[in-house]
Amino acid sequence: MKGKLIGFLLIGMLLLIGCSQVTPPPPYTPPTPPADNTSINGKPPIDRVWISPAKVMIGNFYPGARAEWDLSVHNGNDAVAEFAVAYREPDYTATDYAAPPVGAQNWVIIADSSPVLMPYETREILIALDVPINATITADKWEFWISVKETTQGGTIQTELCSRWLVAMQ
Amino acid sequence: MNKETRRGLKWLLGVALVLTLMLSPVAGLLGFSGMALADISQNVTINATPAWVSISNTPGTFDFGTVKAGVDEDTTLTGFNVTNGGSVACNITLQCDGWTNLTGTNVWTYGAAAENTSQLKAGLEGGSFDKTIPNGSTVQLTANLTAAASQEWGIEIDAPSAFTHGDVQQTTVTMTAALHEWS
Repeated sequence: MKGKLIGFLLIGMLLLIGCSQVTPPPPYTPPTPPADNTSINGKPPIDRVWISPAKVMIGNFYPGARAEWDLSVHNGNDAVAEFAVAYREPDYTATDYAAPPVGAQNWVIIADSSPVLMPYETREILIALDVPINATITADKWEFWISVKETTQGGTIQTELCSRWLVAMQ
Repeated sequence: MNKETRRGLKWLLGVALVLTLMLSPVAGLLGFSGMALADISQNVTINATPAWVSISNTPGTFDFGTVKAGVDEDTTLTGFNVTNGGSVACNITLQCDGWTNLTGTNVWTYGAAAENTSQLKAGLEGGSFDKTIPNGSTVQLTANLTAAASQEWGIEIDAPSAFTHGDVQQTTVTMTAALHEWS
């Protein structure tokens, strides 16, 4: 009788475990960027391709943490345009910042890497830096870029816009 | 069931109870699970300046036409005009993707002038074609191009010293803009 009771209790507990959720990583809610991206020069032009922000600064970061920010991409063409949004090695880095660690491209998650935008549309693309807890990062400060290139642009001289991401570790 | 078995079952029950409490949602309410991770991650800071990056370049294409062996051709140093349409100063870099063949099977090698080998050089207005446009890396065309400012520039083709074929070659130059460094 006691054996059966213990058995039922065990099964009940196992069911409780099975139904429980694995604790997810605590979500990080980024601050809301200004609604209209205004600056001292006014609002960004509607008829030019642009991205915003120009620079994102992440502080107190550590392996196992996650940081997110929305990158705005604007199609300034009067036609539908496709863009490629990608991780990019920096051409240069800020003072005291190193090049990104090996494997950094695997830590950057781009919610939509090939958005198709309607004429004059602005799209928010979520960019997340999600570094595994066992990652080895020797630099205290490092930098990577997010590249945005219109893939539907013609010609032999093409333009690419980059957003700089500066990471300071704990 | 003997005494030893009962003791073993009690121990097992105790372990199961602890595990259940730790893994179940109740644990979250009790403040056990994930507590340390949550506390640390809240310390990560992230911020951005509401500035935008934008450049335009005209013309968007250039054709050197027929190139003679050993004779460099160029667009002149005012052949192109890049404008910073963003709200912040930018650095502009250039790179290309090497030669591709548009009409046949023979492809030039991208590099300093030699037989079937050619490269591009860039220069700013008033200067010279002193910046070799690399394939696979970048070269800085201009630094700290302020918002709304324009810069004229040009491209020169470092023509092959000799040809063994006449297939049409093409390369695409990518002009990259990123925020000029500021603290």
